[in-house]
Amino acid sequence: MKRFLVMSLVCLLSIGLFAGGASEKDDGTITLRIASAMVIENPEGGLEQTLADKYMELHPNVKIEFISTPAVEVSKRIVTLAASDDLPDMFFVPTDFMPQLYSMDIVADLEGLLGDEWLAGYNENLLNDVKMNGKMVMVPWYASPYAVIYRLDWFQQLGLTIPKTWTQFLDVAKKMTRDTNSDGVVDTWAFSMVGARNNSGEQRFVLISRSFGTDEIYRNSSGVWESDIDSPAFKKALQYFTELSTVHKVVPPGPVEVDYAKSMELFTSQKTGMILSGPHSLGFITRTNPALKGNLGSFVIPMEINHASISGVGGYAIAKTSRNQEVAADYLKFITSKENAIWFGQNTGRMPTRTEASSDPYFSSDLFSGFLEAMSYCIPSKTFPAYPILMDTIGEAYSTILAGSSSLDAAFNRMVEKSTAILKENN
Amino acid sequence: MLKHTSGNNGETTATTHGVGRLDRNFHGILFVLPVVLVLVLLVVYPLCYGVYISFFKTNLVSKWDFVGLKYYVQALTNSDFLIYLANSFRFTLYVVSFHLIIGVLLSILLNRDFKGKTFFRIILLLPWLFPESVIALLFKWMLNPIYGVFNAFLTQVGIISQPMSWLGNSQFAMTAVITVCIWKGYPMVMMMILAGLQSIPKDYYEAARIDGAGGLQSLRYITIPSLKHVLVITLLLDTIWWFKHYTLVWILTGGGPGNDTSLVSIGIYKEAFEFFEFGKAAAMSVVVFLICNIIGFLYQRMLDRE
Repeated sequence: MKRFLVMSLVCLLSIGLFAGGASEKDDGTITLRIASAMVIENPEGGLEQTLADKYMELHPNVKIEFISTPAVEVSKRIVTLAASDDLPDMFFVPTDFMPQLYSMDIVADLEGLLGDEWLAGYNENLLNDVKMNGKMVMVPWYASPYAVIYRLDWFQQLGLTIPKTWTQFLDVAKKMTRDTNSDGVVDTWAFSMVGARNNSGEQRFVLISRSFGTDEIYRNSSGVWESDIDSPAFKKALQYFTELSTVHKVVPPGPVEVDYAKSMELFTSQKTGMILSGPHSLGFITRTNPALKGNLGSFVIPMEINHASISGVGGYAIAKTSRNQEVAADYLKFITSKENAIWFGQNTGRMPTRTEASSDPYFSSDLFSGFLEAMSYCIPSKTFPAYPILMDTIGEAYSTILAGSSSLDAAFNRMVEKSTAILKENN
Repeated sequence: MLKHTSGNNGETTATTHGVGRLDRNFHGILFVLPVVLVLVLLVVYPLCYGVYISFFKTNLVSKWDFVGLKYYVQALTNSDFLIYLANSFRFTLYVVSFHLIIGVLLSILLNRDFKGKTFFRIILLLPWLFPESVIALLFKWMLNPIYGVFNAFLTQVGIISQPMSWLGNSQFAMTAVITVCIWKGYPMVMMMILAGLQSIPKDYYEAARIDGAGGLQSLRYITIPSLKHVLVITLLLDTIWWFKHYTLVWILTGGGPGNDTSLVSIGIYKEAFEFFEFGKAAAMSVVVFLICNIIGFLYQRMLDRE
């Protein structure tokens, strides 16, 4: 009897430890699990939920469940879920994650699911941007080409013109950096520099370096990976970028502490008048500070040799392991349809990727002029497998210069040494 | 072993010492089995899997290229990893040392009888109760170069005239991070030492007073020897805890500027989840695991020497 009681207690304890959640009933309901980075953003989150609710109304047998993940954590989450064989049906794809995603081979045949007719409606450049070695790894939902968002009212007040070159940009920046309350201390700066050593900062710096005529990674004619990181032009770009803070002081103090969120904070609190970002920032800016509505403009990233930008495309992939691939594809067609894409774009600034929607007059306004022009200078996404490591090497260089722990020459030499080793390992 | 004994009425009673022990062991094993299973699943298996991964170049899904000890050699010869280790040792040394100093001083004070003792114990325990992420965000805000109260105060009293970037300047970043971690972690040391102090019989101090010993002599000949075991255990736990610390530093500085506050935990995290080099990160983790074991072994030797 005693042994029986002991065994029963042990079994109960074990069951308690390993008890899981309730299992789903098989009543014909299709549950679409979507790992979304948008659902926690403002205003994107509410809008994405509205789209999901609309779809569920039209398809009562479909239930959409969002797994919210910050954009910077999505790639980590997807890797973990893939390793534990627990991928959701759809997941958001950050562009810097595309090479790893391709190598993991966990994306379904998106072209087969969507069909040629549907795919023909996309902007061709954007469609190429989401392919790795010819395979689509993402269905593009929106584009957010990078340009400079600026305070139209400050430009008018100070009699400034749109800078086309970096020399002109510096002149404009010096005039915008001022002491507005006459206490002898500068309290307004020109530029919200993202100096943090992370993907946001590195991506923005690389756009500047490309405008100096360099390419941080490319395949030569023999298919070997090469880089312009060791070129004098790249060093010039690094010098220009860091001197904005260290010499000219046209950026707020502590740029190394400034990530994307902080840079937006500085702009919306009117501490800075220019920010390098995509139109996706417009929705956040005007919601945070409604007074800025009507006082914003955009211009293409200035050049030293050529203009440069990236498409900033964002979208979803359908998992190979999903049992609801057709439903997921249908949902993607729904959210990227003309009416929904225009509605989403008007409220967030994220531009549609299908030509029928992107030709809407809203996206041809003055506010979007810089972004529209930037679309013609977009450089395709990089497929170099060690791209994040290469970018981190660049981030280390500029952050050590900005923090005062390294000279330009020392940081540049260290960056060249590391990038050479990275290229050697991956060629 | 069966042993026959004779009862009062001549009957034989078989006692089974061996079977009785087996019976007791069986019950004990059954009771600990669920916990052992959980430990195996949550500790042993991940540990072994981590070691296994360290021998492969892998994306954990479709690529498993065997590389042998390559990543171990890289970890021990790579200047970045050595910088992370050096930063971690320096960071741990300062944080643990100040935890010990502050913890001992405060615990001695709190061990005395005075009005409001309980109130002060609660107040001084507060840093430990807050989640690390909350503390990191609070201090990040306080140390903000433009909006931070710290800069505002220093500007007002005339110590600085221009905003200082405490977390973005190479000279101050590590100091700022260490200071926050000292503030966060001292209560644990304080409470453990206080518990140790309260277990020392008051008779010892009375006897010492009768013999003419002063405060410092009591501290040296009674308090510290009595606390030795507690001190060593506390130091061991504190050292291991802060050597592999991640949250506070990641939120405050992300390991920057440059590599100035990059601890080994941050290096491993970046290697795995930003560069997707899981094999290399696993190898680095194994090296850190071995270092922690060595630290534990050294502390144990200190204890055993008593």
